[in-house]
Amino acid sequence: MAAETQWRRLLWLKQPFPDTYTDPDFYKQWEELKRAHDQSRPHSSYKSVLLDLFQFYHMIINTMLLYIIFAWFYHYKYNPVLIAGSISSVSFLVANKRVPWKSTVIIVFAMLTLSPVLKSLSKTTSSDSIWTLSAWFTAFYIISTSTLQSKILPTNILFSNVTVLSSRLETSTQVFCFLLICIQINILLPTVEKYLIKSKMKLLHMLCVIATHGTVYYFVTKLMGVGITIPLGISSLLLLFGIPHYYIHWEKYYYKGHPFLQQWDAKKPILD
Amino acid sequence: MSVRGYVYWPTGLVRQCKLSDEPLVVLVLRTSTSDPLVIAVIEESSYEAVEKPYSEFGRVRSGNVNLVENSPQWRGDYTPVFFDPPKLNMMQFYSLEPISLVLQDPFKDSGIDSIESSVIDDDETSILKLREKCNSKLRQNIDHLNLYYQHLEIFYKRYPIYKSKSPLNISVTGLKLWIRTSNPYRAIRCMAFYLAVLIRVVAGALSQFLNWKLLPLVKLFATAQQIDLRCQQVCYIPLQYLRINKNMILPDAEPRIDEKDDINPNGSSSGLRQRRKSHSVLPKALPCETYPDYIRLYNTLWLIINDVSFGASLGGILYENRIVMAQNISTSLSYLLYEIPVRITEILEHNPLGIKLNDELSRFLSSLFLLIIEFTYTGWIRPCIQPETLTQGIIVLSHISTLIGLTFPLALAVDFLSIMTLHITLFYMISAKVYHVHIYVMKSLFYLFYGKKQNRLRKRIDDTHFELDQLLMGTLIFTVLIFLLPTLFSFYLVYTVFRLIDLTLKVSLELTLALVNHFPLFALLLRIKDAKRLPGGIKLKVEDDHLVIMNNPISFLMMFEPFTTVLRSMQREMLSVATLKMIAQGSVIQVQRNKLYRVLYYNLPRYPIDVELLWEKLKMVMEKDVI
Repeated sequence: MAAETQWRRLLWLKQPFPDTYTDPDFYKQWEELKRAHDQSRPHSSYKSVLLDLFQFYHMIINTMLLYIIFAWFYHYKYNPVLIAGSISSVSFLVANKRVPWKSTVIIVFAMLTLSPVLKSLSKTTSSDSIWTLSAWFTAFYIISTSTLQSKILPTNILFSNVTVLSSRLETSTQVFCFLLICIQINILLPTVEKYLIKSKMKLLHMLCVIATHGTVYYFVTKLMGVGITIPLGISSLLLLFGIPHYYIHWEKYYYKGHPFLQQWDAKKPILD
Repeated sequence: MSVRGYVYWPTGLVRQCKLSDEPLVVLVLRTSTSDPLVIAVIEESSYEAVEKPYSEFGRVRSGNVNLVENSPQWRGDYTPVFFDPPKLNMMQFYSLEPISLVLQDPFKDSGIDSIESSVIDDDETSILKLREKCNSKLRQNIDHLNLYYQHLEIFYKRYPIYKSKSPLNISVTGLKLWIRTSNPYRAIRCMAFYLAVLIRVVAGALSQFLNWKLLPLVKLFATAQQIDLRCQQVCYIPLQYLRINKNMILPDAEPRIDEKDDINPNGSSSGLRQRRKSHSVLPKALPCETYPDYIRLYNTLWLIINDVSFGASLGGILYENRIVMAQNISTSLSYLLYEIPVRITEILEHNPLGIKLNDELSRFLSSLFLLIIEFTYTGWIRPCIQPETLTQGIIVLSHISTLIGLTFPLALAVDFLSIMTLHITLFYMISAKVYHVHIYVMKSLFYLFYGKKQNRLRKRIDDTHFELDQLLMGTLIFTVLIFLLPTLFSFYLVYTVFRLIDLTLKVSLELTLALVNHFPLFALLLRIKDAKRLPGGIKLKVEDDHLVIMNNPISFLMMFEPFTTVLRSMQREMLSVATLKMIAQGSVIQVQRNKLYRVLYYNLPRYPIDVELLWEKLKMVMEKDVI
């Protein structure tokens, strides 16, 4: 009787087998699984994971630039015109062909018009609320950039963050310059980097990245001292090189689709 | 096979049967479509055979009408139904549907019928037909009951020998005829005739001017509306008179159909009411058709008289207390219309309740509003609310009140208030518009913020690609607007509250006005005095072994139906979730007076009767009476 019908590993079927029945194929399957386990599964290469993670890290560092520029104006009271002028001329040279002339003029004039309004916009709001708002904006920006396909929402969130922060500045010139610099750095810099990667100018790209990171770490050191910079740098390096290992381990043994796990996974009912 | 049916007994004859010792012959009116109706009971000794349509129903021996020995042609089981014969000259009658106290749409019925028959399936149709048949039979029976005295009269004309035995007699006075032939009466009649036409012409022209499409004064001023109402009433009086007293069939003035539609969407009751017209076999002499007109006419007249008498007393009170009143009104108005708005606008400027508003914007808005307040206050509010001016005004008002009634001073007060609170209306309008645009722009920019766009054509929200400059501009403006929103909203909210208080005050005054103008006083008194004159249907009561048919008078609630409708529509416009939504969106809340008030115009036709037609008809009446 048992020889005729094949035992199936389905509990909801009424099968002519005793409750304690063990399928003779069970051990064979187990052997197969063990062999599959010993074999290394296809997984991502360490380099590609590292590069992807680095891109994310680089994006965060890029975002930090915004706060550094804000600190220049708000805390150190640097002359905004000088910085804005130099960055503008650089970006003008770099991205001359890529951005249409007309829209640049429109944006610049709109910002010029609105900067006095922006300056007084949040005068009655306390600084703490603005910092909190800005922190949330940054968090949303990072989440949306790394999850969404479209670039519209991240760009808007970033720009509102900039607008909100700029309303803390003291003079209209500062506000205008801050807006200008932030747009150039946060929107044009990634574009330039992409362009560099595309046209395979690796050295220039490397230089660009190193300059950004250097600036950020320099300011962190200047603001908070070496005691913070060194642990921060070490931990970020550790994370940068450690996380890909962990990821690959996970992908090897725990990622769904592994035959060993799949055999004993709860089956998903297929409806139609 | 025994026939089961009903026989209708007037209570007077039942009593006669009970009192009589002799056997009585019961005579009934027999028609093909209705149940037998007992016309007379005659002592057997003096009975002679009668012809069609009368028929000998049977004999009563013991005085009990339940035990009738049926004659051979009336074999069967008949349940007696007792009724009080309605006195038509006293305007009593039975009706299956409540009589209407407002003008109804005569063409509404067919539409409802067609919908009913199209929706239901065959089985139900047959049941409905059966019901319709029973219903029409009952309707015919009711019509005969209403005409009982007329039937009786015809019966006596044919068989005068039975007349002396009747407990009822009808007398005719000769005095009327004598008066009608006298000369002074003719002169008065002639004057009345010309006066009626003249009034129709003047009042009609005035009403038309007030309703002029280019400048509808009626919509702007309560006083204009009041004058218009009186004019229309005056225009309608001759028509009503002709219809009631001369039984003249006049083209029914066009009722307010479209307005009815959106206020009472389930117009089935009116449809039922109208159905009786098509089924009606009544002669035109019956007052059922013109009777609502009678109630309406006398209600109008009574209310006008009431109005004037109230006005006289109010005028007296106003005149006596004019100085004290002027003082009080002056101080309270200057406090309410000037001091409070100024103070609140100043508070709004300086961080109200600890909420920090945008300085520049709040300063701009408050200076704008303060400017308007100053302008209106020095422009007309201060001169108008000087105690001396007010005293003069109250004197004029008291004179008007004494002359033409309470409603005019009330309407004038409403208009005075609307002019005095013009600046509040203006604040509200300005802030609502600005707020509305603000919200609207913010909505669009918010779509832009997450990369969407409203598709107007398909009425949905689509993904779109935006250029960088569009995004930057949009976000910049959006951020600015978000920061300005609380300031604008607080101003808007405060002035909305002002506006609502103002509106509540005005609307309550206008409701008082409506109550004085349209209180169903006459109907109410009729209901108390003689409920049979206001039939709202019939009810059948079982007593021992027979049925009693009784009038079910119109309920009090139904008399006040126009008022409840007004209150409901007001509640819908001012105290509902929809209103809150409108406030949140910044749509302008407006209570349109004529829209609210028009429900009460239902007892007037939309257009007054044509002058030539009136002339013709009145002429006809004059000539007929002379002959």
